Amino acid sequence: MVKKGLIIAGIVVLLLVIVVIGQYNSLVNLETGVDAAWAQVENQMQRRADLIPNLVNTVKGFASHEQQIFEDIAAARSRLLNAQTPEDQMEANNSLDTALGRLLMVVENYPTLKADASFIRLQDELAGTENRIAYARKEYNEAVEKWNRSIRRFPTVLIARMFGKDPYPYFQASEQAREVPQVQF
Amino acid sequence: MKKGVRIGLGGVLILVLLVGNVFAAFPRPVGFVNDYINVIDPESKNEMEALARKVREEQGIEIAVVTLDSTEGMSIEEYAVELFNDWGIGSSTEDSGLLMLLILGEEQREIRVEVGYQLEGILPDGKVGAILDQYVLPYFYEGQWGQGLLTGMKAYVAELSGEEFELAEERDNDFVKTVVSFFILMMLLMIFGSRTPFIMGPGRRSSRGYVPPTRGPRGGGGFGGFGGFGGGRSGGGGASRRF
Repeated sequence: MVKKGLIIAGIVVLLLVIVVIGQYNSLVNLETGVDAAWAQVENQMQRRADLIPNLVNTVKGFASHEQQIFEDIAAARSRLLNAQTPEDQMEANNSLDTALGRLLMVVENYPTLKADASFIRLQDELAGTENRIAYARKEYNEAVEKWNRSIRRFPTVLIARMFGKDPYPYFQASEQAREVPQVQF
Repeated sequence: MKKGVRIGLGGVLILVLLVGNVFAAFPRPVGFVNDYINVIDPESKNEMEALARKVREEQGIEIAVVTLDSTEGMSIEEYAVELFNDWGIGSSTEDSGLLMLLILGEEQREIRVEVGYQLEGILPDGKVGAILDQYVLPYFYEGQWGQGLLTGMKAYVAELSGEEFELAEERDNDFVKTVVSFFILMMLLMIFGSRTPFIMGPGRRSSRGYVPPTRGPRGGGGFGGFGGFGGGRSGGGGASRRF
């Protein structure tokens, strides 16, 4: 009788262990997904940072006295490149968005620059990279959403607590990036 | 009472989800050329279908042309990448697809060319945009949508085949000349180069590094139809123009 009880207890424990392993692995998959999506975001932010010196140099050739905006862009860019945590990177990326938005506004005042073939090419590359960042950000946020949901849900919440798993931050697009730029006189 | 409210809320949620799905649903592809708003003339359409089929058979690259009257509130960039990945343009192992999306609506007149992952190296955004400016938009300004798309497609195909496609620094001036010589080149290549097209062009740069994958016709379709896209993906590369 006691023996039978032990066997049943053993089977229950075994099943429990299997369930825990399964849940743990599903969490690992989700977290790997978040990491991979973030790597893609970083990749594209880096790509944009690499493009900026070319763009700035081209604009400088036509509008050398717009010193302030060049300095702002350089500062935002180096902040992005030196950022350590994802939160810092997101913030620096958003301030780079703002600075670049202002640069493109300034460009409006220089018709010859706007019509310059190499500037148009750079602008296409920049727009393409921004579009890639937007897409990578969307994929990242989707992965984060899945992750954050599953570490709050039963039963994965137990496993997440056990292994100290934290929610990841969403990557919010900067407010300025969505606003239509305002020209200041 | 409370239960009723809860059920009601649940119903609303389900409705929202359903509507959301309908909202995000894309039309089904009917071929390489999907002229949903009937703006492409039949000659251009046939030529584009034939060219797209040829490119798929010989290089494994899939080109889709789509015309619509709106992007349903999304930006054209967002719509294009979602449509691209929903359809899966290009082979799934190589992501070698290209989407030309033309939007002609009341307030929206835009074109976007979306490039699959694999083709980003050979068709960087700057080049995609330059080809739009140089070969597509001049036709669009005259309302020749089919001709513009066709000329653009030919330019992209030439680029993808490793052909040096001259991008003149001065536009308009050399435009007609370039287009004419391009057509002559295309004709010559079509006549003499049917087995290994575009390989003999004098301007070919081997340093480009990209050798388009050669593969046999898939699925044994022969002259057969379009048969759906291969499952390729894009990550938002390409260029757009508003006009």
